[in-house]
Amino acid sequence: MSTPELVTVTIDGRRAEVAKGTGLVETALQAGVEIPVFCYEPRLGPPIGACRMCLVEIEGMPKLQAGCTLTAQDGMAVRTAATSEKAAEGQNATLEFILVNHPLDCPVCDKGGECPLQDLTFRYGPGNTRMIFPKRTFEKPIPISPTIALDRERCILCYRCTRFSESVAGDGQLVARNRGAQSAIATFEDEPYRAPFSGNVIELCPVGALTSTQYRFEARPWEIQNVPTVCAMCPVGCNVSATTREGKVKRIVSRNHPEVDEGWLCDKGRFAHSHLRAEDRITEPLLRVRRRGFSPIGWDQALDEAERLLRGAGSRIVTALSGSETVEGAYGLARLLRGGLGAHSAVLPEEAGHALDAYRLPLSAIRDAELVVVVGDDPVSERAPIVDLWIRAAQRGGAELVTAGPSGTLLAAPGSAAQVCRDLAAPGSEVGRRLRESARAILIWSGQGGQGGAHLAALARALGFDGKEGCGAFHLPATPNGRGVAAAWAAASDEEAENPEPISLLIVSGDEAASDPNVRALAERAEAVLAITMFHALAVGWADLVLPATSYLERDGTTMNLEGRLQRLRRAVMPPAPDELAWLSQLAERFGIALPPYPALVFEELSPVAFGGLAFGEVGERAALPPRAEAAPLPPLESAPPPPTSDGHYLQLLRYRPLFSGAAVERVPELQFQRPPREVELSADDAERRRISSGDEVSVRSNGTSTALRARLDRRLAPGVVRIAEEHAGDLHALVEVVKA
Amino acid sequence: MDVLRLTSLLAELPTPRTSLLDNLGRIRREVGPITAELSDALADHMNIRHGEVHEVKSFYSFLEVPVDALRVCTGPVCDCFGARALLARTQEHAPPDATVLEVPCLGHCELAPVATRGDTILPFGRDEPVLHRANEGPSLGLGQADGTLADYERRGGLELLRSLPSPERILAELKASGLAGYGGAGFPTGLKWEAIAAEPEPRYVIVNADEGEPGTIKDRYVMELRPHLLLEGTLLAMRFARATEGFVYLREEYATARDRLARAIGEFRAAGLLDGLSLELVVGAGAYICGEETAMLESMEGRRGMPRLKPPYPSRFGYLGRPTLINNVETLAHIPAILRAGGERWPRGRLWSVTGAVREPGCFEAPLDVTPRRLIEEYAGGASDEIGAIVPGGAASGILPPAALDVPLTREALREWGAGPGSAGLQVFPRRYPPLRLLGETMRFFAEESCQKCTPCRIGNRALHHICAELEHGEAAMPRPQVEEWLDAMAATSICGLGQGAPIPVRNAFRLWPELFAPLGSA
Repeated sequence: MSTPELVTVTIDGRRAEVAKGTGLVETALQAGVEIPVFCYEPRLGPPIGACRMCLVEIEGMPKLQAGCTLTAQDGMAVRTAATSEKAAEGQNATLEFILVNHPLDCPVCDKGGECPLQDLTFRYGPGNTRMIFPKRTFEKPIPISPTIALDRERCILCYRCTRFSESVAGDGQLVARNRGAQSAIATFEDEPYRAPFSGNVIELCPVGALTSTQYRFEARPWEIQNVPTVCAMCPVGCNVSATTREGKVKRIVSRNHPEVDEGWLCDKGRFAHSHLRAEDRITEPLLRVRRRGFSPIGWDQALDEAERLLRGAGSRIVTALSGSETVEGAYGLARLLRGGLGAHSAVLPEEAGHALDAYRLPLSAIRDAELVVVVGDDPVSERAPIVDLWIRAAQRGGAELVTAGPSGTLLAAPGSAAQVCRDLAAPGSEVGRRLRESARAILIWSGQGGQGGAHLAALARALGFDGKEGCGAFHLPATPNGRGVAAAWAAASDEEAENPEPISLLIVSGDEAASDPNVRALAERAEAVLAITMFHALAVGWADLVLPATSYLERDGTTMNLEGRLQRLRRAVMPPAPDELAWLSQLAERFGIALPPYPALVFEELSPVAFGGLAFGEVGERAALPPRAEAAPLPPLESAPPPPTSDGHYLQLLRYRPLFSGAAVERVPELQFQRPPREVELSADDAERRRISSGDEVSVRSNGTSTALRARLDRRLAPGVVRIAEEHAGDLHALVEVVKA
Repeated sequence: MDVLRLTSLLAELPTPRTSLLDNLGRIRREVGPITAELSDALADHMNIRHGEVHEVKSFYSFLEVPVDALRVCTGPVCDCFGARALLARTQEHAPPDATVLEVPCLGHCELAPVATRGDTILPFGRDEPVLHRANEGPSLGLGQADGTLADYERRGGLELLRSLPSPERILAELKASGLAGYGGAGFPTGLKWEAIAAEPEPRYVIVNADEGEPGTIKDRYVMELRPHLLLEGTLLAMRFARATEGFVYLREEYATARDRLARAIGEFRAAGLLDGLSLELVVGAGAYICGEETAMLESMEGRRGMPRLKPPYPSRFGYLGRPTLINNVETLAHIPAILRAGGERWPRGRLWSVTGAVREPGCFEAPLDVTPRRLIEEYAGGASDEIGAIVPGGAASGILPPAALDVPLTREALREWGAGPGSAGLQVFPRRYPPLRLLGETMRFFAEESCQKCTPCRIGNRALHHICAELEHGEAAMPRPQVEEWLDAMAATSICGLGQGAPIPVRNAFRLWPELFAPLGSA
């Protein structure tokens, strides 16, 4: 890369040396001068210069200029309101204009105390108010979705929210309506703003016009604490702050990690936190009585019971892990079970290899790509939502996106991603040729299949990605910390596991494992089940002993995201029961295993084996990405037998796990509207042949099971395939009939 | 809604984003007002998100209104001649299913008060034939209408197209002529053309026919009377700029001009004058701001008509990001005369709309330094009433007392009165029409037509309108020094000419009609 040309700019007499083309707002900041802004937000695309707050005087230009729209040029002399009377007058007037219609209801506004309008009025505004006539009034607030309220009186029409909706998230649902005095922000046709990233507009809003219904009247900025942590709801690991008040998490806000999330969050990460206080949250150990009953027991008794179960089972234990445990929690379990009992058998959430570490890049590198190829069955936004925003950013920058899958730009049968990789590597592939020629190409695996990383690595190698800094590959796993958990489990012992039959004890660690049908099936073969879960409904009916689990917001430790970046979780609130490490430490002691109850100490123990001796304190608040690994020999690739395909009558069922699903989402009332409707997606071909149109009630059947769903036509879906969200697909088999009801 | 018609129409509609406004207009005409369903159907057809089409359609005043709606103009001249009474009467007598709409200015001020039903003009609110009153000026020759291309040719038309002067000569003549844009901003045309020639191809040419300033009807006269003349000027611009694509952005209300231009374009095409070139009519949908050249570009690209930040100017970054030459209708119509006569010998003049309290309102070509009195007496048949106030050049040009009747209408002379010639829309108001009401109506216009992009224009115009309304009741909404600060701020901080120009009539009235502002206190 060439070094950018440096230019010198003078701002209020201070010199700043920046790369040519740097925004004037950023340049000023570097010189220690603030240029105040409302509408300016570089993450939203080109500046629009609408609010006029950033007016500055530029030497040689007769009129005041919107500073946010200018970039640094050599020799530029800028005078902000601090030194230019003209700029100060303009800025004063702008603030006064903005406040003409603003209701100034700060005492009852959630934004009060952390409001840019309040802050900038205080810093730059006139000292007194001269308002004499009536303000524009609207009904307020109106819900634009169950999670967001809109107060049009407070709105200053900076168009940040509509620009986000249109350009960044690409959902286009938030719009500026009408012209002239009638103009206002609204949702399209007054439908709820139903989109995976909607909550970002709350943070973008520089006034209190868009507020969170969850946070409404919950706290004031001076009585809250913001705990810097990481979201552990998906494998991206967005950096967040958990706002707490009186021991409760009140909201989640972004904490911009420019390489990971660029300050965006999905609505699951933002709003799902209230599951911590779900009604069926388990807060004390439970012992099974009768078939479906539980009796709460004390911790001493619970540990006695656990010890009894463990001793009885010995090495004939299978541990089902969720992939949402912390590295330290998983290591604690492994130390107890592998070290204390020789029970090496585990069901890891998915196979996570290291093959892709040789093609590692930060997620932000996707934005700079010129060609992005996604293979796999699942939409990126359902598996790792923020990755979808990075891809959109790349597309805005002119990148081409190729998706190879059942509804991709290149149609590929479900379950054929490995084959797609081989095809792309083959000499005749046109996309493959362009990937080979590109210096900035990205591969992404978005779908099931544990060996996805390895297949992608083989493709990357075949395409000559080795040694190309701008080319990389990402595997989107299904779990937030699958890699970390696998590493922790491996760090505790390197003995081979033997699968016990029968299983004496099945340990179910976490809610994802507890809701996994495969784990449920395993339980049929187990004599006893010990479940570590957060919610009653997940334990009832099959667990003999239940120990309360904690959420990522309630524990300290580390977690590894899909890039292979190790990040720090910080406890935002105390869990309602001791966390996993606390009781694991006591239980381990009964088996002669010394396991500290503190994540920092546990990490120190496992780090030399798993993370090259990295110190806990060095993980940092904005974790760095380890460098690329040396290219290593690839693991042997297995070819799974292809799933049965459609014969025209029977259609191939493609299940997907929607972003808005899972135990946490199910327990958040405000997120219910985001969950997938009871729908089956059909290709236009298949629908036409069955005389089905969008909205029709249909019956989806296979081998004796049938379920009633509403049909939706998907123009991009491959013929012969139907897609149903996991939670609505139930017991349906791989091939289904679809009949109009 | 006619579903069958929609289906067959959709199949015909082009899908590039630049066709959005046109498509919306056609659906409105051929199917019905754009409802949510129609908007969604079009969005699906064009593969645009529903919300974006929704945003665009709600930006314009007419897309959600039936084509045959009765539109009553309440612009200043119409207001002076009884538009409110006409509106009230119309609303009272309209059948229950009819839509009656109050609109800011229909651009037919010489027929005040005026209304339209669909494409039909209703002078004085009645069904009467529309007449043009124009003089046979030396440059434009509007005294005689050209019915066909042959008529035009008989008067010496098309010669220039057949033997095109060299680009150097064109530039030299334009510069020598001193021609400056007649749309209102007055930028020297020669410099504009020179700038476009320095930019890389491909380039576009756009004719700004979105005349919308209350009191300004001159471009409509040119298009209705001499459409071929405009087209020759346009083709000269295209040939000069080596642009193969040209557009005429026309306001929706100008139905007759639309027909005549469309027919003339057809004649040009049939005569082979458009070989290798494309010239398209783009019809607006009711948004004054789209006359601002960058807002027009946004509108043509299928977005809300909000002005862009300048620089970059359209000559560098215009339609679809390409260098674009944008000229006003009248400006282009003068160019054939300039090239024929030579810049030095071209009889410098411009076309004045003269409306209001005159006996023969119309459009007259007259020298640049003509006085209002001469325009009224020598061209427009004299005043029909005792003159109380004149507006020299369009809504943003200022309100002058009768004492200004003998001021030459040049930029320099008017500057001394705090006014400007603007778009040359001279409006004459009788003494019975209160100047404060005129000012209030003017500010109402700006408040309603502000696109709402930038803060000063959005808030300032609403506030100024409110101040005027209060003053009519003898009340002061804010002290005078504050108003003056706000005027300065609007002029200094607004993005485009609308917000920068709107303070002019108020500031000007402070100076020339101080007694109106007594309740506000002293300066």
